[in-house]
Amino acid sequence: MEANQNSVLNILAAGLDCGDIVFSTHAEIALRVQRLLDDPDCATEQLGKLIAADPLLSARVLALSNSLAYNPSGRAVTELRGAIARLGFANLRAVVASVVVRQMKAGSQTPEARVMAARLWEHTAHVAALARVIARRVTHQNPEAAFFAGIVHEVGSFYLLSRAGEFSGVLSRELEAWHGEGEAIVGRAVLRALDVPDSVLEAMETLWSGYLALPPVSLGDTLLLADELSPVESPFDALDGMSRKGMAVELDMAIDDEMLSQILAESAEEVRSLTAALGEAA
Amino acid sequence: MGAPVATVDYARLPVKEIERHARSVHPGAWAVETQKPLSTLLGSCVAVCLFDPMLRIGGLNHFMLPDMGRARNGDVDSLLSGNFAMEALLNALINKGAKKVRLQAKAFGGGTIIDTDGGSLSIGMRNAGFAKEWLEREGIPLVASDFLGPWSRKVLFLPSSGEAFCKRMVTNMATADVIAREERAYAETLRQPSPTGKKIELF
Repeated sequence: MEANQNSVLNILAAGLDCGDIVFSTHAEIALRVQRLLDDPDCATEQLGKLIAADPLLSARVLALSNSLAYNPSGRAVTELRGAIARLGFANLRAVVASVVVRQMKAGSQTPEARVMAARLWEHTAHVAALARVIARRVTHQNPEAAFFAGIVHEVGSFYLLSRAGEFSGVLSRELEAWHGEGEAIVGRAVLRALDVPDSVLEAMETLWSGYLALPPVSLGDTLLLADELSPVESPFDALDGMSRKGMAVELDMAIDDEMLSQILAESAEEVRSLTAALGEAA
Repeated sequence: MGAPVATVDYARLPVKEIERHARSVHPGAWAVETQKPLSTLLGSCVAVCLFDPMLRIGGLNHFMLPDMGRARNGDVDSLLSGNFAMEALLNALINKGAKKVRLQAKAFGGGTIIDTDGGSLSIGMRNAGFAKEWLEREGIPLVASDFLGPWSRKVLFLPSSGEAFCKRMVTNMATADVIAREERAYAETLRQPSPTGKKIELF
């Protein structure tokens, strides 16, 4: 009975399955970097050269390596090799993903979609920073994998926004289908096109299922918890009237209030430098 | 229809499969299992999961306190129904050999799913508050919980491992109505026959 409600979402996903995903040149280079990172023989030299070919990506890599999260001592690196060494390959993956996501954000054409994309990016940065802190302090998952998962976790929504102009009214008409299966259908297709690691896909499945293990354990739980704790909600949630609206929530899971506020404070600090490093207009 | 054999290790299944196999616990009911997953759908009600890690057995209930927010002195009856729900679950577990000192709890719910002028908010809060106080009084540690907020919740509980999963759900009007109707029907059964039947507003 949801077949026609899902139609636009299915068209989008089917297009993605056929490789019909439009990436800009920035994103093309980013994807080549992504593939190089998958190569076990990948050398920093080679990576540096490829990244240097794209000024936008180079700027992001340098900015992130000099952000508070990666440079607590305040010693700035100014060349790519040093920046890559400092970030490590896992983080480089996240920067690359953020460039792709940001390109999609830039693709939003209608004013409504642009406003939503900006908000979605803010939400993304919060979730990524929170996921990193939660992984380190609560679930003991790989913090960089959690950060990466956070960066890409709204990629399906960004894609929907970038195509919203072609299907007028899709945002209001299909919101319910989107919150049902739609986000997962489109998100899965985009992530496959981006070649994200299986562990991240698995975490995304947990996120889409919505079931948080309490206490949280897996990478998926880390991501879902970050999403639930994020001080900035996804604009899609707000649209559906399921926003928290400042309503009190009590979420307890073997970490006390003091630790929770430490986690939030720590990630708030990171999010400022992250949004500065990853988030300035493309 | 490929019914699962008795030895299915539910903890290894993807959460969607756990959901499919789960036995649903309705408002006012409780259930104890050793293997089969339990599930329940909550609005402003609360579900408490109790688990004995030594015996690997667990149970879940689904309850609310009726008649909230008005008669300040007339609270005794409503607390009785909460006590009944908790004791029924506790006794069912003890009857199966569980030991109270070993029990651990996880609890969920108390959401505000229908816009009212504050009435249903206090319902959720009271239900959640009751569950916490009861567990504390009985000395059963509450290891995880997700209470309040604007969501309805679907809870899955694996009685063999004590794992619990909570999904906060989009509460559109249709869903909220269905959940509220079920909870209201349950609340009706809790109501003492009263001469002024209509004045109790639960949602």
